[in-house]
Amino acid sequence: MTITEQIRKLAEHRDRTLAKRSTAEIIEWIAAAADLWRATESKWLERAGREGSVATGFSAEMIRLGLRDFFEGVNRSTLTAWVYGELSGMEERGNGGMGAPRVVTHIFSGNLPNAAFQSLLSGLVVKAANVCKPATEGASGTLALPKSQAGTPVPPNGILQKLFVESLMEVDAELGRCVLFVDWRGGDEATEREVFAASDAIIINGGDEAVESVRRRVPSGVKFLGYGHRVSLACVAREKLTGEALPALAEAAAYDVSIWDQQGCLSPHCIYVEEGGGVSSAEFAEALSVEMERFETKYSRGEISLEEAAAFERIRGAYEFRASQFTGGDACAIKDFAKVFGDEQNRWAVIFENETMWATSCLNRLVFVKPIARLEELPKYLGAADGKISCVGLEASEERREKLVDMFTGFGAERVGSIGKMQRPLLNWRRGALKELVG
Amino acid sequence: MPSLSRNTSVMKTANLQSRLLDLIGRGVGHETSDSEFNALALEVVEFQFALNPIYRGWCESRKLTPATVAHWKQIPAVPTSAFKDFALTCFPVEEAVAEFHTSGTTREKSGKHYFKTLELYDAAIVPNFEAHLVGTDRWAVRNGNVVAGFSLRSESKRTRKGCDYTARPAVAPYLFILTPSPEEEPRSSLSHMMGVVAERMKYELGGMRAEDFFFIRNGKLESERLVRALRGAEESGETAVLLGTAFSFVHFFEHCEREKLCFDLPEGSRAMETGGFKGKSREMPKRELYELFEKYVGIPSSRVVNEYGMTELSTQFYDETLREKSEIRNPKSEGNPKSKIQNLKSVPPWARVMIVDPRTGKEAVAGERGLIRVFDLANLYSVMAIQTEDLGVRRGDGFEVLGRASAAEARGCSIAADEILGQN
Repeated sequence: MTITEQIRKLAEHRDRTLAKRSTAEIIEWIAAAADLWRATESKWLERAGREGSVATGFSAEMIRLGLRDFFEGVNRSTLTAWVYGELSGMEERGNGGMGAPRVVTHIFSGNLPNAAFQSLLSGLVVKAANVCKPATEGASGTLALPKSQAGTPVPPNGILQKLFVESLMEVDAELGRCVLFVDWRGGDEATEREVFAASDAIIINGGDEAVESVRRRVPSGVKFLGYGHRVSLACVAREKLTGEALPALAEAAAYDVSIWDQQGCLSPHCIYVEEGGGVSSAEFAEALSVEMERFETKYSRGEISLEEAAAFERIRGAYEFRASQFTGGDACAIKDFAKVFGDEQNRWAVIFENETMWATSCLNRLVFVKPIARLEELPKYLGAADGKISCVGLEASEERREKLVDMFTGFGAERVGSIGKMQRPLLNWRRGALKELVG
Repeated sequence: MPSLSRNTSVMKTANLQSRLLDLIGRGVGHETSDSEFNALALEVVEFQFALNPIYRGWCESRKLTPATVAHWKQIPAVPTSAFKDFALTCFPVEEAVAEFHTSGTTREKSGKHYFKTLELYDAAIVPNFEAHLVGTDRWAVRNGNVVAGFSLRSESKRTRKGCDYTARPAVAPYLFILTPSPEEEPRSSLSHMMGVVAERMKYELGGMRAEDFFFIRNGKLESERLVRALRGAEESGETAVLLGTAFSFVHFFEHCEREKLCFDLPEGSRAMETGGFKGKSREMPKRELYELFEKYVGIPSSRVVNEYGMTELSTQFYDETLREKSEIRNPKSEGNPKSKIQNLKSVPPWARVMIVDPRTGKEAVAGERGLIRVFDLANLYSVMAIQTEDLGVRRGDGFEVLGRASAAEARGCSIAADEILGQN
């Protein structure tokens, strides 16, 4: 069967099944699947950790933590709020009426399941059939299978997405069969053309180049939602920097940096700590390092490729050299001061640098802590990240929040979340996506 | 420091420099044993620890000082990035007779390497270059000066009408350098090195000025002039030697493509290419580049030699491709038979290369990839042990350079450093 035929059969199946259910039934279906993942001793979480770890290199414990936290946010009330919030008044159209997409094609790049799940859910709640192309594990070309796993049979691509769909099928097999996984090599334009032609909407999460390339080739009449790769940062206002609040704040920040090994667009590269609080940025860095170590002990950083390890060592080494030139003194008073906290095996690093300008991390749990005189000055310190910010994690008083959020939106941030929840956005954080699909 | 010690250490220094010159003077054909190299390396690191306070701070932070280091492999290496922030010298920087800068991007500062003297640097250039590009190793250092310029024995068996080879003295090669001259770019270590080579060659060619060998002027490749000169080489039957950056060669080959030109340089002609593409154009795989040499100038890939060097070092590393067979220390390493590209770099006797596993910080197992760390005795007045940002792998006594250690794409949806900054 050609791909076109596969998709046609998929769409016909969807017409007979998903399209005929009410939105409430679909929400119930998804929520029931999410329940399976949230269950104590969930076998789904167990499998995801075990099989996902081999495929992605992330540690099993970290995968389980990340997925458990993702599914915490997927329940009847959050799904309802999302769908009805965005599509109020459009329910009729969502019922397979005119305008709603019949077939949504999802192109995932990268290993993070959250973005892929979010994408897939958005297709399901608008009652579309879904064609999913997972990232080729190691597609970046630099991720070689970690040594410890050499010889292990490699699970198929998109293992975590496939597991999720399996759980959806366990709840309702008929509805679950409205998802089709397809694989093709990036660059196989013939297959892409076939798939695009058979789609009503295409959602891609990928690098800017990939997104652009797809955008150009999407046939007219086909909806297109493209999400390029982004970076994120966190800010702590001075009024929140108290000795009392520090441990919890550091713990929350360590979570945001460490979950998914910092590979997400919502993962912070830099944490800006405002001057004038009860805790200095240097002290914050130290507290953060304690929490990074604790997190690593429980949810270890995954295996990384040689190139990634080299990049980590390159950045860490550069800053350690600089740090070696400062043997004492007030970290925050000395220009160019640097201090490096890190694990002996480079499983995490916190780099304090007395330089406000943005620094890009090599990821895999290497984060910069920087002082800033006033958070309101942040825009001039964005440097290479300007225009590429996805999320700003913010810890500030109510009085300052509104103006700061306006400022963040002003430089293009897609979302503002609290520290500790940067990587756990609400389902509706890609505002307008459902409207876009259905409208 | 009491004056007696200062005098002693001054004497020791002068002595150390001349002993290193002697070592370099022995050429690249004779290995130094590990113990001989070790003894010198430990002396050098003691010297640098005493006179380079920035390096001393680094050693102390690593808790690896001359008191605790017993073997050169333990010597703390300085990351190349440190040259951007610090003047790493064993002498007052105002006394520098030369400084070389890395070609930093506009966003980044450039690294600076200062020299108290260029004697060691220049001595290290010639025997190494000659052995790997010319195929002989005959030169000497006398009284601290390199004597006996080199010339290529013509390997061309071709006789051309009207050319009588019997009457000629040692045949001089045609030399084509696709870099700016050192006069134009005094801060470029590559241009300086090319200048040293050109000076040596000009005596052979009689009447030519070293600057005539350079084909980049005012920052532009003089393609037309190069074309005429290459035609001359073709017609004369003389062995041609082309030296330049990979980027410049690609630029010239693109010119040839546009103008529908190609050259059939005499047999024995050879080329040296160096440098990456540093984000200027797409990264070109070596095989593709070497095919262009064959296509446009008739130099087969078996006669193209890659040079690995950097501003932070005083020593270059060349592929063994053209060395006389008897000198190759790794006869089993034939290079990659599929590609016919040698790739194996030899290490001159006054240097060592270690491959470090970035995951452990320790020496990588032989055959495993890791970061290249260089120990260069010629770097006496700066820092001997340099941690590069390049990936490589040990092969026998030599090593292979695999490219820069950049994490290409992030595996998730974030952007890794190199993507967001562009290649740099």
